[in-house]
Amino acid sequence: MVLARRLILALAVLTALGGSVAYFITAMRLRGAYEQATNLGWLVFALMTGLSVLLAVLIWHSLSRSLRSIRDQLCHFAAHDEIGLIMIDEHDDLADLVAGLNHYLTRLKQNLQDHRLRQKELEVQARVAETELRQTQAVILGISEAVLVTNRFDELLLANQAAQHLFGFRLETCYRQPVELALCVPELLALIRAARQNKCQRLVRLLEHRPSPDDKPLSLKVLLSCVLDEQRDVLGVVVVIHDVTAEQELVRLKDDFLSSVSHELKTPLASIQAYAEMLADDEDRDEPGRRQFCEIIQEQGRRLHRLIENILNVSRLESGMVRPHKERLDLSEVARAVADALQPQAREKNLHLQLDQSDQPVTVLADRDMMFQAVSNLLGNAIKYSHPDGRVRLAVAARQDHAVVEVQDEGIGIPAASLDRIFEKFYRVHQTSRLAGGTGVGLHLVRQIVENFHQGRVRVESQPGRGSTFTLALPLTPGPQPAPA
Amino acid sequence: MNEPKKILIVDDEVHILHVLSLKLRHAGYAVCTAQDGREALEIAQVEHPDLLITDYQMPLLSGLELCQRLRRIPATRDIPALVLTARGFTIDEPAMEAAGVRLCLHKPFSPREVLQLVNTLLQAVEA
Repeated sequence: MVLARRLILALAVLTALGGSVAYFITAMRLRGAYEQATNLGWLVFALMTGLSVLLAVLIWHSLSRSLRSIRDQLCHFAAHDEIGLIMIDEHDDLADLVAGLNHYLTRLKQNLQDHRLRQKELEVQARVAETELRQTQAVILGISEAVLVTNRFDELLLANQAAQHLFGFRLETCYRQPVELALCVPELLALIRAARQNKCQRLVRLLEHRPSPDDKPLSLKVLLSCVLDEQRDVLGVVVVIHDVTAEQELVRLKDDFLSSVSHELKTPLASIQAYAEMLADDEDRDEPGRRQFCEIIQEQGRRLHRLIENILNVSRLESGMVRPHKERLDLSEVARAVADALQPQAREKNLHLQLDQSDQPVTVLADRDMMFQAVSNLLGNAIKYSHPDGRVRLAVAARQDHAVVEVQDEGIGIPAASLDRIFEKFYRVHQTSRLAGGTGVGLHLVRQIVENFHQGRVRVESQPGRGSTFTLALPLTPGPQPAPA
Repeated sequence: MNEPKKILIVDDEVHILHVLSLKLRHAGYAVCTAQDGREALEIAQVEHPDLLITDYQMPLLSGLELCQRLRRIPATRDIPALVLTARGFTIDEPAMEAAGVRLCLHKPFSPREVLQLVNTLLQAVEA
């Protein structure tokens, strides 16, 4: 408003001056002083022009200074990328304009700050969401079971490493492609479709799958679950696959075990009953007759007992029910006892049972019954898997600081692929299960006894068709001789 | 009929062979034995037994396979068979019938019962 005031003042002054001068000039002209009037007129004219120009310059200068100040401040703000308030003298002509500008700028600044804050919040949220997503993905990818996720169009959305490996595909090539591209298993594809169409919460099936023609078939337990949104529309299907091949094999082994146990038990039992009946019917007239029948009955009874002990001991040892009762004993003596017990079986097949002993006692600290069982299982196997008219060798000796028992046969031998597995519970070499009865627990028991209870080692060497040698070694116990058996 | 009937007994268990041969011989039959299916096949073709008694589960050749093989050979086609088995449930009955197996006995068996069945079977054949 200062500018307006100045203008009005200047105008007023000029008008007043002009009026006065006009009056004086008119008065002079009326009095006849024309020349003086003209001179005065020109003087006043010059004066007034000069004054106007001066005024104009002053006003322009003042205005221009304000404007420049505003412009400079705005440039400063722009250059520093900030929003600030414009400073101006409160008496300035442009003060009102600046006040309005400042108000507007303040509002802008506030908005900008709000937006920046919001942006930061969103960034944080995005980062948190991304981290959670990556964690979830890592969890899924890392699951050792195969996991697949398809959408409502049967396209593949997610597959972890295990799934890619199992079905032989890469996620990069199959992502968002029809799932048939990744899974070439018709039954599985049918299951996914069925789960989706029927909106199954939980569908479980067992599938056989062969990853490649050379691989063994795998038993897969497949769990499908349909994912629905709030309106109960299908979002997709989650498939989790467990490889249950090992469990299935164990089930199969146990079934085989039960069949062979049944057969193994019935065989000696059949002999016992048959001979007992023959005695009752006086069929023992011929020599050797009665005596022979009774011996056979007893021996088959012992065989049955050994078999039952074998089977029971496997569970007893594993359940920890048995405490070994260790004493100083001579392994040679145990070997002799085993050879005597199994002599009849060897004779049945016309096998020569060779017993090699050293003259020195071979003393160990061991549970006698367990040792008897272990050696008996080894010798029994040697006899069982030998061809008739052959030779079986049982040797006991002290070697360095170990007592070593060796059982050697010239029988059918063990295939190299099975050598690692024969000490497993229930494991039987497939080809031989037809050839000879057996329960698959004998060798397992031997290993349990020797390695878990006696700190020993049991080892096998074998050549299919030539025979096998089983060696068990126990630490020798030095010291005084044990009491004679 | 003065000539004694011939019976072929096949089992991988020595004791079963012994018991059955004794029982049947004492009852007046002629007995030959074999310890596995292959041996039995050869003997059957030479001896032409009137009856076959065989174990079901044997190494190399099972009792069922033995019967099936014999059916294919004209000379031995009509020999009736009695099968001893420890197996219980898992017997393929139609296949057994087709192979000429007349009867199945479960182990443990009674020698008396075997004798009775043998008598019945051979009398039926005669008739």
